[in-house]
Order: sequence, then C-alpha cells, then structure tokens
Amino acid sequence: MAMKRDQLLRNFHQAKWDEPCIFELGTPGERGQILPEVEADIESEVGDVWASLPENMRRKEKAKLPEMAEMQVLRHYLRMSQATLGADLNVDVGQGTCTMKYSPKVNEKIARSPKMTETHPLQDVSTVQGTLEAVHGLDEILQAVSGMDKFTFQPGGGSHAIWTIASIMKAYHEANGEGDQRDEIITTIFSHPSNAAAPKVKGYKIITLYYDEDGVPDFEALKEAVSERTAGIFVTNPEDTGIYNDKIKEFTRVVHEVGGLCAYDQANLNGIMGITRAKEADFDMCFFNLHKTFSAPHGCGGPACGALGVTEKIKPFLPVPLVEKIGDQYQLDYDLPNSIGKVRGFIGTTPVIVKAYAWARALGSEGMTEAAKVAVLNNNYMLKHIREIPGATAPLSDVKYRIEQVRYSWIDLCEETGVTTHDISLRMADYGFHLWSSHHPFIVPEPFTIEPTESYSKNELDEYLAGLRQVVKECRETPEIVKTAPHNSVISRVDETVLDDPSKWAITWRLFKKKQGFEL
Amino acid sequence: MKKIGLVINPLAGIGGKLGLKGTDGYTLKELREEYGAAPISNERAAAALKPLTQLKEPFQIITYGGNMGATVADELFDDTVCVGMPCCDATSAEDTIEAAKRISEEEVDIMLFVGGDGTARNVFEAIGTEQICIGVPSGVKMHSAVHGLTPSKAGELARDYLMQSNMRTCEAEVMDIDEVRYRDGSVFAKLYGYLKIPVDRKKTQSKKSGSAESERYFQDAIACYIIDKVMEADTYYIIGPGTTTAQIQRRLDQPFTLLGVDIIYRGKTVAKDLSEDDLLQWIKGRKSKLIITPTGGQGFLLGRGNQQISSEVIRSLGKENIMVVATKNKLLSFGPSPMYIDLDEDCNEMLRGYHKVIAGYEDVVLKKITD
Amino acid sequence: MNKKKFVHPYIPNSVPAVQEEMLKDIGAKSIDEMFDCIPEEIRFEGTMDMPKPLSSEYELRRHMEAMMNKNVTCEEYISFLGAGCYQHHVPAVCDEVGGRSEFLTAYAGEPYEDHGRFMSLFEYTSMMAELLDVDVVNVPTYSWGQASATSLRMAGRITKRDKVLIAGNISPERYMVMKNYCGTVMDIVMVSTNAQGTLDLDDLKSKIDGDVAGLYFENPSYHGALEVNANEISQLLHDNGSLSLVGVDPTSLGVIAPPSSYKVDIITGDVQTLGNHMNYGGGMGGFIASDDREEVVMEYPSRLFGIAPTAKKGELGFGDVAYDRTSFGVRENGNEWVGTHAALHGIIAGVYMALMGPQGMEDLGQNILKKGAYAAKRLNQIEGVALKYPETPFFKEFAVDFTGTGLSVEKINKELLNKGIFGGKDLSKDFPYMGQCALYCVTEVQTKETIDTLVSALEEIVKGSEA
Repeated sequence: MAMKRDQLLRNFHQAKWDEPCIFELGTPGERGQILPEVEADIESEVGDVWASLPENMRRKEKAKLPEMAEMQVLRHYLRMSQATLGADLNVDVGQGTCTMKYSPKVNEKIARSPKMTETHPLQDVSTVQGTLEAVHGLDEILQAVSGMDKFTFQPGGGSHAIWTIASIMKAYHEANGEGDQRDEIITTIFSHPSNAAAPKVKGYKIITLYYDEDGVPDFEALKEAVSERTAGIFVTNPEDTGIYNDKIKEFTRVVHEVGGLCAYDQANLNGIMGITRAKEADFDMCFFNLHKTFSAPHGCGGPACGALGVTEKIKPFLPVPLVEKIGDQYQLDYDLPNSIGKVRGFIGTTPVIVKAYAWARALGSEGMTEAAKVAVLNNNYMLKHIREIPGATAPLSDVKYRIEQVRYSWIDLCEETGVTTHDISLRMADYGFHLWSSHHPFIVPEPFTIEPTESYSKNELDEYLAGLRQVVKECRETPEIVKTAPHNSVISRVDETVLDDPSKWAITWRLFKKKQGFEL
Repeated sequence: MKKIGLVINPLAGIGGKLGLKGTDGYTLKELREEYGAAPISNERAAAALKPLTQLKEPFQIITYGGNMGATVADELFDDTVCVGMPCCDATSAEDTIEAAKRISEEEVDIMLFVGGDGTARNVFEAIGTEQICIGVPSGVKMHSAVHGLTPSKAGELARDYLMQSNMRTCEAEVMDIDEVRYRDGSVFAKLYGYLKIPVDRKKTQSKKSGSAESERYFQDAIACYIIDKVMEADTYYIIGPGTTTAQIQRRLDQPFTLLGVDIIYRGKTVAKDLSEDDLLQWIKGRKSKLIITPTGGQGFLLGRGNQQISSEVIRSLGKENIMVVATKNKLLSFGPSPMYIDLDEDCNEMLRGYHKVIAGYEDVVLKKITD
Repeated sequence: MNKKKFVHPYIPNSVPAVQEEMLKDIGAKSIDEMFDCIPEEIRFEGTMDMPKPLSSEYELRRHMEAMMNKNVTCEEYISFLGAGCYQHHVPAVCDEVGGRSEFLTAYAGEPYEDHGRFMSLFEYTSMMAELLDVDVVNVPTYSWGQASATSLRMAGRITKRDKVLIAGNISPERYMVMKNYCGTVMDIVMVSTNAQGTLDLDDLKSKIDGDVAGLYFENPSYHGALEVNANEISQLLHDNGSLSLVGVDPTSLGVIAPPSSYKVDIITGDVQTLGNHMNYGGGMGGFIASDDREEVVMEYPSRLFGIAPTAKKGELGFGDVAYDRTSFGVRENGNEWVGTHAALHGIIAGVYMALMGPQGMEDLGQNILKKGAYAAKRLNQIEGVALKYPETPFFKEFAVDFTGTGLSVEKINKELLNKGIFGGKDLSKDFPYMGQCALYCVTEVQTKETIDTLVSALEEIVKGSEA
C-alpha cells in the first residue's frame, strides 16, 4: 500500500544546529567526570608517587582539553549525531558497495551486555565459553555459506582481510620453496583499490585485468597474465558493477594450472548467499564483510570484521589463535607452526562477530537465501526504473538483470546540462538521501552506485526513485540549484581549496589556530 | 589586476546543428548560404564568461574584434581591451592564430578559446604549451582533451583557477582529426600538440576511499619504476611523444620534447626531436629499447600518425625491446577497445596480441594491441 | 506443495504479493531468472548446513543470553589483567553516544549529510592532539599493532632506509603484527632490555647504523616500565638520521610527559582505554600522530580530515586533506591502503576526553599511579614474591616475580581463579629470561579492598604450597 500522500518526496531539512567546535564550548573549571577517591590508607602508604618519578617523565602542563560539564558534552554530541544520516534514519540505498542493511537492535542489546563488554581477552578460556561458542558457531555457519573449511575473524575489515590473504599467499609459496619466484598478483580494474594496494605492501607486483566487451574481466588477458610467477588472483564476483562473470570457474582453473592461489573478495556476497559458493567456483580463500552482509553496523567506518575463510590446505597459515572445539570445551589454538603470526591483537572485533552470529541464527539458511533473492529483486526493480530516467545509463553491459548493485553513469545528463555526479549527490542530500559515486579509478564517467539490499520496502525504493527523478528534473530546469547544493542539509558547500594547500590545511583544531591559513 | 584572454571561432558549432562533423574547409559565408546557419559561438562564450562575474578582484578581458570576442565581452563587462580585428566577416584559421598570439603577448593569466579541435590546433600553433588556457566546447565531437565539459564548466574552471593560488595544471592533448576524411567516415587522429590547462580537483575526489592521486602522480610512478628498475646503463632508450613518457625525462631533470622523439642514455637526454632517418642512425648497432604511450581518445599507439617511429624502426627493434606505458585512467578512456597500430603487415603481426602496459610502480595492465 | 512463504521482519519485500507486483513491473516471471547468469555447475542447491532459524526475537534473545551467561566478567571477578586490553571505567555518556543509531549506522556519506561524523572525528583527532601534544593525528586504524607497524613503514619511506630496530620489551602480539607487516620489505633487529626492564642503551648504540630507519619502543613498556632514557634514545637516533617512534598509553598522559618532550617523530597507541569497553579485545582502535612536517604527513596511509570554510561565513565544514603523495621509495609505491577501520571507537574516545577534561586526565593518572604503587608494595611484601624491576618507575602495570615461591604462574593463576580473581598475565612463555613472572595491571577501577583481597589470596596460595 503506497504512502497516503500526494507525492513521495519529502519536505526534508536535516537538523542544523550551527554547532561550534568543542574547543569553543565549556568554561574553565567545568568537569564532566569525577574520579573515585584514592583511599586515605593508600595515600599514606605511598605518598606522592608522581613526585618520585624522574623529572623528564613528569607531565608539567595539563593537556588543553575542553572543560565541560556532563550534560553539555552529551548535548554537543547528540547534535552531531543528528547531523549524521545513518542507515536507520534514511532510505540508504545510495551507498552502493556498502550494503547498508538493517542492523537488528536486539543484537545491539546482546553485544552491550556486560557479559561481552566486561570480559578481557586474556581471561582463562573456561570463563568465556559463551563468547567462544558464538565465535565458533559463526565459524561453522560461514563454512556452510562458503564451503570453506575454517574461518579466522582477526582482520578488522575487508581491506585487512585482503592484507591477510596476501600474507598467507606469501607464506604458502615460501613453504613450497617458491616464495621469491612467485612475485605477481593478478586482480581486476573493478576491484576495490585495496586488492592492489594491500598486496603491494607485501612486496607483490600487480597485474591488472581490464574488462572486455561484455563488461567482465578479460579472460584472454588472464591467460596472458598467468605464469610461473603468479602467486595468486584476487577477484570479486559479481563486481561492483553488478555484472556476474560466468567464466569464474575458468578463471580459477587457469590460475591453479600455473600453481597460483585463488582468493575471492566477497564484499558483494549479499546477492548470492545460498545461490553459489566460493567452494563450487574452486576458490582457496574467501572473505566476508561482517559489517556489510552480516548486518553488523558500520559505525561511521568501523569497528568491523573481515571474516576470512580458507580450505584445509591453507589452514596451517592462518593467524593465531583459532577458536576450536575440543570435546565440549572451546579452546584457543596457538599451535600453528606455519602461521603468518598475527594481523591484530587477540581474536578480532568480538562484538561484531557476536552480532553477525545472532543475525545468522535469526535467519538461518532459508532466511539468508531469501535475503539474497530479495536484494537482487530490489536491485533489478531499481535498475529497470533508473534506466528509464533520461540521462542515466547502466553502462558496460546490456544484460537485462544484474545481481545486487549497479554502477550507473550520469554522463549523458552531464553533457546535456553541465551538472556533475558530485553536484547530484549533494542535491540528493537535500531530500534526505545519500548517493555515492564510485571507487577510483572511475570505470565509467560521472558514476553513481546503488545497492538497495533486502532491508528497504518497495515504498521506500519508490521514494528514492522519486528523489532521483526530481533531481534530474532540476538538472534540466533549474540547474543552478543543483550546482550550488546542498541547501537543506547541515551545512553549505565546502570550499575545499584549503585542503590542498600545505600552508593552509588544518588536520586538528590547534593546527588551524596555529596556521591561521583562512577564516571560517 | 587579472587579465583574461578570450578568442572565439565564430564558425565553430554551426556544423553540429547541421549534422556536419566540423566546419574546416568551409567559410562562414558558405555555411550561411548553403545551410542558413547562424553563429552559436557567442552564446557559448557568454555562458563561459558568466562565472567570471563572481570574481571578487577587478579584471580585464583581452580579446579580438567583432564576433571573435569583442561583441560578447563588451556586452558583459566594462573593462575590455581589443587587440585587433579579423580581416573580414568570414574569419579563418589565420585570424584565430593571429588573435591568440596577440592576446597571449598581453600576458593574460588565462585564455579562454571557443571552438573545437580545429580551434584548439590554431591556439596551440599560436601559443604553444606555456600559456594557460581552457577550451569552451562549441564544435561537435571533441577529440582533444583541452575543453571543459560544458561552456559554463569551462568558465567555472577559469574562475577557480584565478581565485586559487595553487591550482594544478596539466598538459592536455590537442588532436589532429582530419575533418575532411572524418566526414567521409574514417577516423584518423594524430597527436598535434599540448595545451596547458587547469586541473579540476573535484574530478579526483572520492569520499569513501579518501583522495585519489592525480594523473601526474601515476605518471611519476611509472617514470620512477622505469628509472629505478628497468633502465640499464648500456641501453639507449627511445622516448616517444606524450606527457607520460616525458615524465621520465622530467624525473631525471633532463630536457625533453612533448611531441618529438628523444633518446636517453645513462640518465641523460642525448638527442631530441629526431626524424625517422636520425632515429635509425642512432639505434644502428646499439642496444636500444623503445618506450611509447598511446595518445588521443582512441588508443592510437603507432603508425601513420607517428612518422618518426616507422615500421623500419619497429622492425629493427623487435617486440621484446618495445615497452608501452600508460596511466590507468588513460587506458580506461578507451573502454574495452584495444590500442591501435597501423604499420607494415609484418610489424602489425609482430605486435598484435596482449601486451603488459606499465601503469605504475610494479603495476601492469594487460591490454590488447591490434591493427 | 503450498509451502508457507517465508516472511521476515528484516525483509519487508519478502511478502509474496509485493514480490509479485515488483516482478510484474520488471517483466520477470520469477526472481530465479535473475540468476540465470550463474552457471549450473557452480550453483548451490539445497539448504546450507547451519542451525534452523530462531525466527522470533524472543527465542533469539534467549538463546544468545543463555550462551553469553556462560561467561564470567571482570566485574564479577576481580581482574588484574592488562597486556594490551584494559579495564577502565566507561562513562555512561560514552555508551549513550556510542549507541546512538545515527553514529552507529552511518558510513561513507558526504561531509554534508554526514557532517556530524566528520566533525566528531575531527574533534577526536584534535583532542588526541592536545593529549599527545602534537599537531597531526589520523582517523583511527584497526589497532595499536597496525598503527605501530605502519609507523615503521612510514619511517622507511621517509628516511629511504630499510632496517628498523624494535625494543625487546614491547608487546609480543604487536611484535607479531609488525613482523608480518614489515618482514618482507624491511630488516627487523631487536634491541635488548637491561636488568632494570628498560632499553639497553649500549646495545642500542651498537646497533644504530646508516641503514636504520628508526627505533620503535613503548613508553610505558609492555611490562609497565617507564622508559626513563627516552630523551637520550631520541638523541642517539636523530644523530644518526633515524627516526624515533614510540607507542604510548593515552591514559598515562595526564601525569606522564607527552612524547613531544622527548622529541619523538611518530607516536602510536590505542584508543580502547579512552571510553571503549574491553569487549574481549574488540574495543581497539589505533592512532598515528606526529607534528605537521610535510615529509611525515605525506606518508600517512590513513584518511586525514581537515577543517574548511563553507559558502556561509562562520560555518564549519570538513573534508579530506588531499595532496599528491609523490614519494617513491626504492621498494615502496604509495601509502598502503584505506578501508573500514575503527572510526566509532575514535568518536567515543573524543567523548571520553571531553568528559574528563584536563583535570580528569590528571586525576586518572594520579589514581593509577597511587593504586599501582600500593599494589606493588604490598605484593612485594609477600614471602617469595618480588617485583621484577623494583627500582624502575612504572605506570599501570608491573612485572611480579613468583620464582621465589617455587610455584609457576600458571599454577598460581589457576588457584586465583578458584578464588574469583584473574591474576596477571603469565609472561614466562613470551619472556623466558624473566622466569616465572606475571604482568599485574592496576587501574582506577581497583580499590584498597580489591587489592588487599588479591594480596590475601596470594598469601594463602603461597603458604598453601609449603604445607
């Protein structure tokens, strides 16, 4: 049933508090927290410990932090939260590749329990069997989703998982005496920039495959790219364009034939859960973003988790410790002599793991498959309608359907009106929407990427489409309003030129005060 | 006081409305008589000049007479200076060249020119690669990279350049499209020259992954890799035309030509702007390698348009001594299409197929070469 | 045949009628045809092997709570565990802000509709800058280990050298992260610790040479010892053209001298202790900080947010500080990667610092110094138990030597566990040269009572072994 309103567009305005920087708030002497007293007995026992420290180790001047009372701090931050458009608040289909799905609040409640927050990672494992059960439980569930044999949750995000994979590839080939020989990694031009950047940090040379006439990575080029120098391939499928590469099993075959490993960047898992798996496509490793497909919240950019799954032959190289079940007890296994060591302290971002586990338990196999199907249905609904907007195109391929997201282009509209994708994004903010462009490099000119996920209703999708159509209309009829957007957001257009100039840029408030490079 | 140059090609843009692919070879009179065309270049110029009204400091427009700039400029601004008049109503390439020359001599901070590829070529002939300018699109398909996306975008770029103290500039390709043959259906693009234009920061921004580096950064990465890892002391390196290849010489702090073929040996430029014969002489009996980059929007690499690097040169070098360099963005601009060569059949045969294009530091892209 | 269609609260368009409407609109017969591009041979058929769904929120919650109730917390027991994760009081306002839906579910919007995200992260970096006494701080990365590993690579790029020195008394976990991060492109050499638990300066002098990009040390060390020779260390490094890299504990900086006073080039550390719960090790976020020197700032891999004016006078705007990072080291190209890290922990750390203010951070430091000194004194008095580094000043943590009791730390900690106490981390495996030592951590959450309880318990355990 459609909304009982004449039009889908809202008369939106974001909260605008004109809030000053925190350093301009408060008054000398105000306190936001009082510490517990040190007992008199302790005082008399130890005296002025600080005075007994070596002179060079004593802080002389107090840190120039703000001085504010408690409610005032709270108020400042609440205003800033109102100035942040979280997925809970808006129809967040415009942050393509981010999978902005619903983060169930029951999982927040669970993860905020002291049974999680007040546990220390070095506690005897007998005292954290609950947490370890959840971690192990998610491990088994992800094995079922992927067909892999073991998962680690140590990487703190997708890029970190890519780094971990590169480290594993290095260790694996070194164990086979081919560490120096295999110094090349193959990836595609559509991949997240980290697919090239992280292996480079490990010392690998990168070979990038471009796309062919069908908008998928060029298979002929892959055959030219592989050799005895190939350490492995990093591939995403479907890519951020939403186009599925149906030759994927040929890709893995070709790489395996030269002795390389195949790593599956599954940041785009959301459209294919229960439909196809890493195992059937012959991958050796894959990773999932728990803060995307598995509903853990994005947190403004973390904390997050890149859950990395590997086949049995790769397991010895995983970072330590692994969570294992021995009898009916959960243990931390540090005994992996070929392990790459660690990519982060302890076992990972535990609250994220527990939230993901809870989400997976809530949905089960049937639910996850349904989520994937609806995500794809929602995406193709949007695709059909966006293709009908004059000036918008879904380039690279003419296939009727794409998987869970689409990389579109405004180039036709831009050439017609002079309005850019950046301008359009900012005008969408005036209607309470995000609209994201693309990673670099831009494969298509003036890009925008939309990923509806399964979390938004048909009415909400229609609302978003109405917003797009409205902004496109404005591009043609009143382009100035789009070029100078936003007007109903928190602030007006930022003058970014100061951010380029080393003599002016101000990364902190005190640097801003020091440089006096510009006036606000 | 800031000085802004303006030169308009009144013929440009007419062709588009008539379905012509450019107006080279016609005079305005002919177009009017045959097709009833009216100049739209003034409209375009006005759209480009409008953003300049937002400039806070006073400025002066330096322009040429009549429909070559003065008409439009006088209507919009008070402080305009006219440095000459076209010979008659039916203006020609010579007029554009003369106008650009004279305006540049006034030491303008930036020059706006209204027109397409042909106009860009004229401007390049007049002012070379030092004077900063920006093209206002007014012709049909633009093969050169020197224009703003739309007239108003060009004006905004000029305005931003004048307002900021440190806006980046880059050398952008001016292409030679044989318009007569183009009309007949064949595309034949040749690198004609480079104009210096301001770089739009917004084109390199992405909020999710932080800032992306500029084209110059990637060209530098390629150059550093070649210098650090590839170049050997006993080899002569033939550097083909283009800004990406020139970056190698820039990095080595050596002289270079953007359009010509140079040679580097042991980190120094030993020859510049060679002809085919000179080139063949140089490489005779010497260990040599060629470094080339595709130019223009169609991925043209070698052949008819590049007289110096001829089939004979390619034949003497052999496939393994030819390196192709290009930034990723450049490669993306061809879409899925391959890079093109047009040499003698045996050379085409030798080079056909996938090639590892050096796109960064230890970073290659596989791209097909075809004829 | 008529299977009840699965409709779920998280999936509004799982309602069959809506799906039909949408399919009709698209011109598709079923959702299945949208997957036709996926070849048969890699299709997964059937159900994935996992537990049946707990479709009602009630069942899910009960299941999760029953599971988590198997845990024992550091509030139920008394905990003296530290070693990289710390129990501090988390103010309720920190939880409140960290739980705000908007902050929790935002991600990568523009600095307009996500202005609050940019501003709160900018304020975090600005407050950290005051605490650390520097001008530049990054948006948080995954962890301290990641931050310090990055500082080593940065040092390599800045100095164009490829050897790094690492103090022997840093965290073993962080060391493992660094080894994996740097090992393939840099030589790593350890510098030994002296009998006082601080860096052996003679060993350092012998290892500094023209290939050394820098030395990474921690202050306080992993064992809690304050690096009293920090000034001399930085001097030695700078005389050699190397960089001084230090990892610090932000909660110490209310009373302990900031690294600027001993001339450090790059500072790293963790924000977990600033208002983030322990979360079984999941509360981490790493910071990288330095002065505003162009050659250093150019090497930061993380995002750096800067303040900027807007079209409206007096209004605050933000954006990414963007510049060409044109440095190419011999083996390096570009500055690592940018992805999703630990932003929310940074925002929460900002809330914490704002609540505490200058006086609160000082009081916190004083609290920790005194309670730590008291605990150390009393433990030292137990028969057979001694401080490992009795002459060395420490902050928050100290190594306790149980060798004299004839009992292993493992045994002692098991006994303590039976008495409801988490004893200090066993150091004997990671640092065998120290003997049967344990790392005891005392923060402001301890009281005289909890410390006395620990002491009594240990006295009993030690006596009990003699009986």
